[in-house]
Amino acid sequence: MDLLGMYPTFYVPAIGTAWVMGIIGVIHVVASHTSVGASFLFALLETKAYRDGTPEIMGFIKKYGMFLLVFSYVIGSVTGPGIWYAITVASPRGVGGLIHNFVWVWAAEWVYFTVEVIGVYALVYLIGKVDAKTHLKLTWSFALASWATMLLIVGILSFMMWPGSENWYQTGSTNDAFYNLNFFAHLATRTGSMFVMAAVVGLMVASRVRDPVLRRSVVRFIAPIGLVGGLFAVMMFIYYLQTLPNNAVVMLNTYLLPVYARAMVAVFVVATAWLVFAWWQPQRVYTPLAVALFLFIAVAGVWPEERMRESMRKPYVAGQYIYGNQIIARNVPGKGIRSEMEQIAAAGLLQLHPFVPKPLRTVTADNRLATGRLLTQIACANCHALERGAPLRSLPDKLHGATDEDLIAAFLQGPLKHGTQPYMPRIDLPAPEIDAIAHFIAAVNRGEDVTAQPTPSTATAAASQPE
Amino acid sequence: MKKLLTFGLVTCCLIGVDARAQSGAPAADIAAGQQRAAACFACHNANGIAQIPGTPHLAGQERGYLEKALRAYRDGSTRQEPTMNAMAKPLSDQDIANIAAYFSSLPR
Ligand code: HEC
Ligand code: HEC
Repeated sequence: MDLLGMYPTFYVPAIGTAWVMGIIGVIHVVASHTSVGASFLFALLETKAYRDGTPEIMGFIKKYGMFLLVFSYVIGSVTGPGIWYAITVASPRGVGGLIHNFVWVWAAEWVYFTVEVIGVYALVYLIGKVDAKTHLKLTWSFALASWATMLLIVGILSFMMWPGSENWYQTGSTNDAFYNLNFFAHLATRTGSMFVMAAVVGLMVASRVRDPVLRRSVVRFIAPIGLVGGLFAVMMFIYYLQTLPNNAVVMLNTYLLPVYARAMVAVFVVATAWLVFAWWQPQRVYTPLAVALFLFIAVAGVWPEERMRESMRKPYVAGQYIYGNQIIARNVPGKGIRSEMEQIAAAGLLQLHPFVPKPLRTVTADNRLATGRLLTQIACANCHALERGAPLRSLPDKLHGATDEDLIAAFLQGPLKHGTQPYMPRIDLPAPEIDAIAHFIAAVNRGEDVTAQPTPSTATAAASQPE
Repeated sequence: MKKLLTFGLVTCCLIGVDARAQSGAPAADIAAGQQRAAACFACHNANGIAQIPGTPHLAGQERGYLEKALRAYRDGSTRQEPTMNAMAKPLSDQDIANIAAYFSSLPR
């Protein structure tokens, strides 16, 4: 029997690997947007200092630069690879697909990242040690390198949403993947938001500046940049929404906006009010207030944005050809990739997945609960938690506690088999596997203990020899 | 006169009941319908007001119509739709009566 090239994946109870990713991602985005935005603030501030002959401003840049070094860069560098580890166990094939497409883009990103990190050290260290003009050039190079890292990553992230045209599937070319339909909108949105993030963090640092004249001039310089950046980000976000595929639009209108719209509007209003207030009353930018507002904007602003981007992409993890549950959904002639749907519909996942323990290769009367659990983990758990009341789209709750196996099976036999729900993969399995999944979900809903099983509970992670 | 009226009413009712029995329509149990329809709520919602685009609201819908619709989906000859054909297939006549009674009892 042929096996498919699938990997074991982790299952994190209740929040799923999706939220683990989300949490690391949010911390990373806050840190990295702050540092990219700050690099431009530095360049602009330093240009002003150079032109007006106000070297005191360099003191502020040094303070902010140290803060960035300690917080942003350390946290950003830890969470960046953290995302790598997390996605590798959450979505190994998604990562594989991206690497096959973008290996040189990533390599280029690393080069710029190195420049950026060395740049920030040099920038802080060399203040007052080299002549002003050389330092200014250094700061601008640092800013451009920082933005280049973001530009390269955004090309990859927006390809994950979709290539936007049929071209890439035929050519498999990195350019077709990189310059996808929503690349520019996505880049512009993030560029706008990075100025907001940088301004909000900048106000935190400015609140520590003692000299009232310096503080006033810095705050009055930073706040308008944040405001313009925010306005630009909102406009570009609206443009971004126009570049999304249909599945994302359905997901957005049906499930996401009802939940997140209020938080997004609140963040916009609070951020605008805070920046206007800071401009108006630079002396009242107190540290605790500045920190509280930073935390609010970072958490309430970035979390919905990242969760939405991840959720809208459903049912795919990348390029609209790899489903969230790791199954290849369509042919990609340009890359020699073949759809796995028909093979799985005929032979079933238990036969084709290499990491299924031997006793679970076929569904029998005795192992129905264990096979059902394993199959649900493979087919559904990337997007659904399997416990009742769990926060990640709990599967038992989505079925409203249904305990009738025949009707749960009908859900798999109808909507899932035919792929009628645009945000869910088409999941077409042989009847015994469908019944096992239905049996498992019904058992969860009946409140039975579904973990006490003769078979390994580490299910997918427990590798066994392929037959 | 009063007696005649009572007699008339009773016969009417009896005939009515008789007619139901003859048509084979079982008496409906709303609670059982609600229980059986849990999986349907995934799309139509427990309150019968659907959120998913393209999915009809069932709350307060005419009971006879709901029964007819479900039978038609179950038979699959006059109403063909991959989702509802599969969802209606396991339903018995009794289930259909109960579920229709449940959704029609909901406020619109
Ligand atoms: C790629 C992600 C993904 C996978 C895999 C997935 N689902 Fe879903 N599912 C979703 C999304 C997204 C929703 C929309 C609900 C939300 O976001 O709150 C959803 C909703 C549902 C619903 C509610 C009905 C609806 O249309 O909203 C049910 C029931 C459901 N899923 C069952 C399953 C089952 C059973 C499996 C596995 C056999 C599965 N799903 C696999 C993403 C997925
Ligand atoms: C995957 C989502 C989904 C599930 C689960 C589902 N339905 Fe439906 N239902 C639909 C859609 C979509 C339609 C419209 C179908 C069409 O165009 O004919 C529909 C139509 C109907 C209709 C016809 C309404 C009318 O006005 O004609 C009835 C009745 C109905 N469903 C009852 C049920 C019952 C009972 C269940 C559970 C056994 C169920 N549905 C489960 C999606 C669903």
